[in-house]
Amino acid sequence: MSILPYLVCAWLFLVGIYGVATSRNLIHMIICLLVMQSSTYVLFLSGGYVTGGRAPVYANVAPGTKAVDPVVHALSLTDIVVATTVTGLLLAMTIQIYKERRTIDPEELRPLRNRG
Amino acid sequence: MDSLVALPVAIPLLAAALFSAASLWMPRRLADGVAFCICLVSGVLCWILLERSAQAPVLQWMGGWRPRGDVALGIDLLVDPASGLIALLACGLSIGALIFSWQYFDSVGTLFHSLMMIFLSALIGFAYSGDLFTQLVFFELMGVATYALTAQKLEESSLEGGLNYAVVNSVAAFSIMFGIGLVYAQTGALNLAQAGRVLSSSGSHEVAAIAAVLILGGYLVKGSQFPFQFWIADAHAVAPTPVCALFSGVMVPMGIYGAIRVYWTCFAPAMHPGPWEAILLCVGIASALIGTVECIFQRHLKRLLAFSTVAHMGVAVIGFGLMNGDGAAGAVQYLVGHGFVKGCLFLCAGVFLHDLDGVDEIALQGRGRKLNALKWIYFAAALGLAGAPGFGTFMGKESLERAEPAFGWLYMVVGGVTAAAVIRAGARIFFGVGVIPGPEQQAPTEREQGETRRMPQHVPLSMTCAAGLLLLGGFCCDLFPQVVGISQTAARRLIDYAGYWQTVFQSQAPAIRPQAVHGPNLESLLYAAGAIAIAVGLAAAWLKGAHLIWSPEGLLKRMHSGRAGDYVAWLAAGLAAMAVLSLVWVR
Repeated sequence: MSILPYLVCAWLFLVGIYGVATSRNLIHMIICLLVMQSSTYVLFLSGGYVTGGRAPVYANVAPGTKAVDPVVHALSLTDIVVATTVTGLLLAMTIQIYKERRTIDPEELRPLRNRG
Repeated sequence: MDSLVALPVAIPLLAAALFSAASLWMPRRLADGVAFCICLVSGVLCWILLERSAQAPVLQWMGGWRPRGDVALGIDLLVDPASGLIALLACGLSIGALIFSWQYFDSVGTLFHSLMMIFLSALIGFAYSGDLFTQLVFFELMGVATYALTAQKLEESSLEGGLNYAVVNSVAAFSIMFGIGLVYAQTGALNLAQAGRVLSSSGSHEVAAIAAVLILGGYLVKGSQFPFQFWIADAHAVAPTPVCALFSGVMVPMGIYGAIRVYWTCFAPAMHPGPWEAILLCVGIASALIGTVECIFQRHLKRLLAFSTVAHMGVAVIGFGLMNGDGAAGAVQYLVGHGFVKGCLFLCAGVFLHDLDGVDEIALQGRGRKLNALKWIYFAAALGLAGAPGFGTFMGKESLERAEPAFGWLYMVVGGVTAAAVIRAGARIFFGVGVIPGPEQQAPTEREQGETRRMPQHVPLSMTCAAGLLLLGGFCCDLFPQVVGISQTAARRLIDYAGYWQTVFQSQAPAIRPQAVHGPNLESLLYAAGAIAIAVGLAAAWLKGAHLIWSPEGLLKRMHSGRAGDYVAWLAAGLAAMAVLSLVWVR
């Protein structure tokens, strides 16, 4: 049972990379980037999991009660913020590309081909 | 003194917020002035910190969270000579770029200044950070600022180039993140020194090997090494010129620096140097050769310079891969020396774009005849690229040749051939020679609209001065013996992981006896002369119409398809190859 999360994150990472590499739609490509990002969340959270641990909130419980590692939660939240920023920027760029070219298929969008 | 460390990172960020808040009413000149002052202040702070770090690295624990015993509770920023040098390079290039953009852009909103400030802050923060995750956050910040700067013009090609760059670098960032997750799961540590110490005493070798591949591979993507270099040409071709100067001058070298730092502090204590020596030498040699070859076949000046960056970064990676003090010293000196010279060349390309309305060397034939001051600067910078004595690149090559004399011919060829391509373009543009275009005629080009609308009568002084200033920076690297001394110290501290741990956890750095500074030796001078001869001779041959026996244009065009998906496929294949090599070696 303990190896399952790691298999899940490896799968998500590989599927994400495959999606980005073979994508035919920019929005699909950006979502695949998010899938790759999710694999790192699963990895962080599995790395910090303590069997039988509770959430790392000590409001009503005695200090020293077994809890999962809060550092990985903080790392995941930071990563979510970063991912949001990057995704927002990429989607904004996609909208601008659509306005100019009326297509978001990477096959049809190729920068700097001999248009001189 | 300790609390100064965070200032060069914090001040530009605050300035960026100020620019965003004041964007509606702040006039352009005021924004230019404030941005320039902020860069100057950061530069002075970085200089002071660099001077102090020559005696002992300067360490600041954020929020006062000092380590308890062996465990780091907080995040540290550490200025040692290597990070100090790279941060100073970032400040210097930013100053040059901002002086240049004073007259370069007709009209630019404060968004540009805001993004440049964020970029500078992220560069310095990345250089100084002593913690894996902090490095990653600054890496992402660098990325976000540059994706926006690249696509700023909102033209088709800028957006597409920006998107390709963004996708490839994001995949690299996720790969680094995955590697950090693996390191944390093994060691419970994010601090570089602590992670290195824990990995060396316990933990699975295979997991450490995979984590190293993911993290170092991710940083090498930023450093545009083979097989990850495909994004660089598209990004450089479309980004505004002052931004390109920063890209090639300091952002790409920052990726190489990140790889060096993480390897030596976190993985070198834990693993045998064998696999990474092999990987880095292969990657470095391949990048150096491929970058050089691709550089020859370009006619778009910014793409040409971008590929030459790949080649020169390959040389620095070879220095890294040699795994000794001289190699590391060579890598650091080369990164800094090359950064200034490359920045200067990009600013010259910007002058072409501004005054001659193009950067295509064939279309601009002979139109640069009246740019008198710029000619000297351009050709001097080309010689700097070849590694002429007096430049930081020469100093770097000297150290690299001392580290491993067998590769001296490779450095000579890389420097000579890339400089030949630059000289060829310059001779065409400034003197109108070379009427017969060579195979570079087939290269992709863009009818680039100048980033300004009017056709000025003369080159604004600020632009020429900015280019000259950066050239001077490249020149100064070799002239002052203190620079040589500090880069030797930088290298010694870089590779001394036990000393690094001691500095971080016990607040006392091992003393380093200053080494005797040698003068240039005959072999290096001969190699430098050879590089200059190759540069001038090859350029002359091409201008007379000589053709190479075999030109791989078809292959190059297919490889550089312009699709982000292809680049990511190469990235995945490269990471997989590195992982296989590492794991096989672990057995």
